[in-house]
Amino acid sequence: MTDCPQVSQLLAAHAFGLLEGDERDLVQAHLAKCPACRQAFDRLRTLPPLLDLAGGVEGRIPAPPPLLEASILAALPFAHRSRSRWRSSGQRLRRRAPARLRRAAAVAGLVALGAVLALVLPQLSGGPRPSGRLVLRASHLEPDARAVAVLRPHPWGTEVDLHVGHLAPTRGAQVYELWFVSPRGRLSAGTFTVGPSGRAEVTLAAGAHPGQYVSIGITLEPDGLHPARLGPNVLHARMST
Amino acid sequence: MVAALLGPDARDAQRAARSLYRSYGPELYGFAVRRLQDPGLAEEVVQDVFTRAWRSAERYRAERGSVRTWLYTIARSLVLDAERRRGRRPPPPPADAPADAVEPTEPIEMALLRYQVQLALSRLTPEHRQVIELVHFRGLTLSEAAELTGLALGTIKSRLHYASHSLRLALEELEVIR
Repeated sequence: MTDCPQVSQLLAAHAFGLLEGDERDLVQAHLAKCPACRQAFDRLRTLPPLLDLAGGVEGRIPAPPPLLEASILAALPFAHRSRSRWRSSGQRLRRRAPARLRRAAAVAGLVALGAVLALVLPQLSGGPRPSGRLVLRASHLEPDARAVAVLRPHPWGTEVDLHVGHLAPTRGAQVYELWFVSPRGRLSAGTFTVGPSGRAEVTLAAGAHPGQYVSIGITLEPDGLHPARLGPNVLHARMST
Repeated sequence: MVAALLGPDARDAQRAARSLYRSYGPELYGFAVRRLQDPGLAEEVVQDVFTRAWRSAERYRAERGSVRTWLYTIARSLVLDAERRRGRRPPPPPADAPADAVEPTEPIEMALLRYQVQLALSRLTPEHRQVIELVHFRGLTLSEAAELTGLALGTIKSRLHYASHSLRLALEELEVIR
């Protein structure tokens, strides 16, 4: 159709009922003889009734809080999904060994697993502990601050994925410092700074083992070169026992 | 993406979950907030959506529907549960809530469709939203829209053409239309 390019530019206006006079006649005559443009028009014609549902273009779409992602990821037990339990059905073994062989293999597997764990994870009393997820509570100093910490025990200590938000930006030599706290003292897991966004995602670590510490806390240290427990507590969470 | 959730590698699974959240989490949250009018409850719902998706990932079948459809199916069910627990009575809306935001008696399917059209509109450029607002929601003619904006009539027609196609694309992405 020779007039397709001209008409196609008018199809949207026609779908919204905005054409008049000669233009409308031109488009209608063209649609009567051009299946391609008629198909395109039919697709555009669905828009006005859908827009009526929306009621306007001003509705704000609420954005999720920045920490929701961290909170969701922290709640998913990635390290503990049993491979056999969660294997998709398409991957299931079609043929199974006789029960006697399966039991023998299971016993051998448990013995081997126990031996490996006894070698590499002596402090975990015979099995991997779940990753801990702690929601830290803000002190009166920065009441809007929020933080989620995911604790991962290792043979050498504990690794902490820390997601913080609504923290006051650090200024000058200031740093925030994460501590493992016990009745006998504190152990630093490292420091971090926060920019104007008030958010940070850092991974810190300390030679702290599960059971040795009762809580974790974040302080605001005035001097990053000498973060010596001088600063006030900003966030805090007790570890579950 | 869903298949990676099931993989044996925890880091791959974490990456897949993060990607899944970033693709769909914000829009699911928007829907939950719009429907429940309670940001805290909406957060819980979205968290439960992903937890449930994680637990049932092995039952997901791409041939039965898209990931978005699957997640919205879970979300719809959880929103209804949340409404039942709350007794179907939403808290009073905040003072700055948009006037169209609260329709507590609206069937959830309709609420979802309304939300997705609004979401599609929010993805248009301001110029494209403006022309749709003028000719559809305010009911102006093309000439009146041209006069109001100071643009040539041809520009308005052209802008409406591109705005309509962008809107269709956004609606297709959201699987409202095919």
